[in-house]
Amino acid sequence: MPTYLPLMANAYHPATFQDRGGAVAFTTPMLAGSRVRDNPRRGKELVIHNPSGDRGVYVLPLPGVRDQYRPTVHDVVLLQRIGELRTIDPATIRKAAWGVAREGLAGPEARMAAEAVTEADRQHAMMSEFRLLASLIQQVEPSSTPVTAELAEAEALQRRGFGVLTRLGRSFGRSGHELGQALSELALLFAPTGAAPDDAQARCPRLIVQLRQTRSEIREAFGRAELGATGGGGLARSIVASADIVLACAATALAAARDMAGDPVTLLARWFGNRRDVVGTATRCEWFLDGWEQICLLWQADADLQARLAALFEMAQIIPILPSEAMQWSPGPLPPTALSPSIHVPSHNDDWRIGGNAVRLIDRNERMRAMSL
Amino acid sequence: MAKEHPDLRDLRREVAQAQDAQVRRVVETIDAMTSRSDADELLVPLRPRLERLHVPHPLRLPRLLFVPLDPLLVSPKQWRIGEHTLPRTVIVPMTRIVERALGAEAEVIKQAIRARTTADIELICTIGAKLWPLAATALASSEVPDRWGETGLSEKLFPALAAQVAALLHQSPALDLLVVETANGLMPPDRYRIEAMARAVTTACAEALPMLVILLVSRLPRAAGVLYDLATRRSLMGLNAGIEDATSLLLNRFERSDVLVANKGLSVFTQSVHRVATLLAELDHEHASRTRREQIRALRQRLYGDCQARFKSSMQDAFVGPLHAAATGAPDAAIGRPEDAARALRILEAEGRSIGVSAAYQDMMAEAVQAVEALPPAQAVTLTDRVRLLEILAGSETALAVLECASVSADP
Repeated sequence: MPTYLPLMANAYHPATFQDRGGAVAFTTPMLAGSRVRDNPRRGKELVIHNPSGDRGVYVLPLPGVRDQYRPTVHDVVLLQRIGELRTIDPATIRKAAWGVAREGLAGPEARMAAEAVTEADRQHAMMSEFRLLASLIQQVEPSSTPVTAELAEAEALQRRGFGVLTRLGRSFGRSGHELGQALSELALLFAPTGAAPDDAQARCPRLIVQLRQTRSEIREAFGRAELGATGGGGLARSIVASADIVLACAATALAAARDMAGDPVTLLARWFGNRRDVVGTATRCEWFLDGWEQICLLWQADADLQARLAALFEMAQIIPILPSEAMQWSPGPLPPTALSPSIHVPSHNDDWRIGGNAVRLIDRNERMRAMSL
Repeated sequence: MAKEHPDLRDLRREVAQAQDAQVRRVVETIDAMTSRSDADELLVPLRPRLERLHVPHPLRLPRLLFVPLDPLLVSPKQWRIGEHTLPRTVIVPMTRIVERALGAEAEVIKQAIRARTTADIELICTIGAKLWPLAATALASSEVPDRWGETGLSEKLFPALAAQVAALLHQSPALDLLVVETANGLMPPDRYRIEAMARAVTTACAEALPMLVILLVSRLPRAAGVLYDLATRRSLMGLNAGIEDATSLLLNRFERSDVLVANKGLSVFTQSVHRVATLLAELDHEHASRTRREQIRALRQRLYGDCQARFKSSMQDAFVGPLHAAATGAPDAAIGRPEDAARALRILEAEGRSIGVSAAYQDMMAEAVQAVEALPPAQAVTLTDRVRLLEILAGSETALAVLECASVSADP
């Protein structure tokens, strides 16, 4: 029988993003803000906030979650799928979550959203590949006719690309097919950040816009003296401060990923030389933003300021802690509060998220799933 | 006070028996009148229903000013000195005082609330936060206004009433924030802020303390427990009597009312049950008098009966009927309706269980589950739809058993 691992009070400082784990869009209120990580010795684990809302986390093996928290059907199936994943990162968890939503287990709205998101992801991956290919052609044949990464020009682009990849393959000591395969893999990898410097439709830039907007709305709402002086005002300032740190880091990481994608010849060379380094740079932005979408959605779930003020307490409870490795990736020195947030919202009991209230919250969480990117 | 005209009496009786839709039209018509005079009397028997019907009213300065004091407002006929309520007739003369004191600012507020209704909670809170303290200052220093006679009250009563209204309006923005911050139930009511409010009202106008208690527990039932605890402090001795008076008034109102909770849609009903059940549970404090606790027990019994009756009727009307319609693929019969109803029933069940015996709900819930399980295989209601309904009604483990069983039988 799986058991709780000891509560890691105060001492919870994940070293890496992988240690921190990936955020999961659970619909069970008790699982809000919890993450899944892969422990090389113990297998996959759930890292869950101290249920009292105080400092520290609980860590329990994934199979123990069903007994311990009685999750929703959606979450049980999602945990099974996550258990089968080979790699745990924001992209694989997200794909698994949309897969479960597509089966309708988070309601009809989330199912429709899942279908739309899957199609959008496919389009983004395709556009990302076209952009990488167009950029590669331009780099290898700078004096040739300019290429456009338009869907309408796809056939011509692929024809020219095939020739370029074959020629480039010789200098790499690889076949054109191998390079084509690598380019497809890179396109998938860079789809969330966008392979072009001005791609506003990719997921990461959209998440950054969403977080910026949420941050501005919180600031605007709590800039008013009467709200700013409340307990909610204090939380709002803390959330905004954390969002500011993450936004700066995410913007830098996004620029780094796009810089890398902007030089496809070097990118291919690095892909064959040090794949891990490329994956690290390409996914850095996603790791920084991981878990923040849920916070934005809690704010956006209701346009009414009163509901938002109440949601602030839930948002503050699930602010992602930054791991120590974030310091290497940050554009500037990180304040100590970034690694060990001072916000704590002790919950006097669980009445607000069990019984009839749980039914209401699950319904809201399912609607939030339908709003996700 | 003038004797009531027989025609008005008959009309009031007729209005009192009107259907909900007719009541809404009556309210709209009266709200549109520039001078309401006797027409307001027509609303007296409807007031408990209006609250349950959630009828929005046009937002005007007098309404905006007195919104925070709504639970205290009664008709002039019901008003008695020392009962810790306010006669509605004070609204207009007191608003005139505030309007005069505000000068140009009053016009700005009027513009801001033009064409808005009492449903615009955010606007009310935002503008109210500025208006109420200013109004409180104006009222606290005001002389008896010229047309005070229109209220039918003695001039001697004005200073006391104005002081009470001023003391309460001063605390209204703080009370609003307290209510909003605790709306999702995550945080308990802030003891220190409640204490600060009670102390401020005691200092400004001790007679208004029971009124503050009424406002607090009406809007934030969970504040009752905090108030009982605070009342044990020597420095807040007056609070005990205030709680007793306020509790008496609120419970008597419940007793007099034909129905305890909103009889509108199922979800409004469950919200209303939650509020009343929480209020009764909080008032049933160990420090409450024996008489009060017995009164509360009787009301809980009534509430329990209401919940059960509503559960039974809604299960058929809102759940089983629409579920069968969805299963037969009837036009306009989507699975969303029974799913919403299942959710509301499940919430109602949780509320019902917290009030009384849970066995009765077990049987009724089992009936609802049976209705889902007995559905013939139909494309219109998929396996996922059934699993979700069972999850809402009987919990995730029951639903997972069905899902896992279906997966096993689908395997070759």
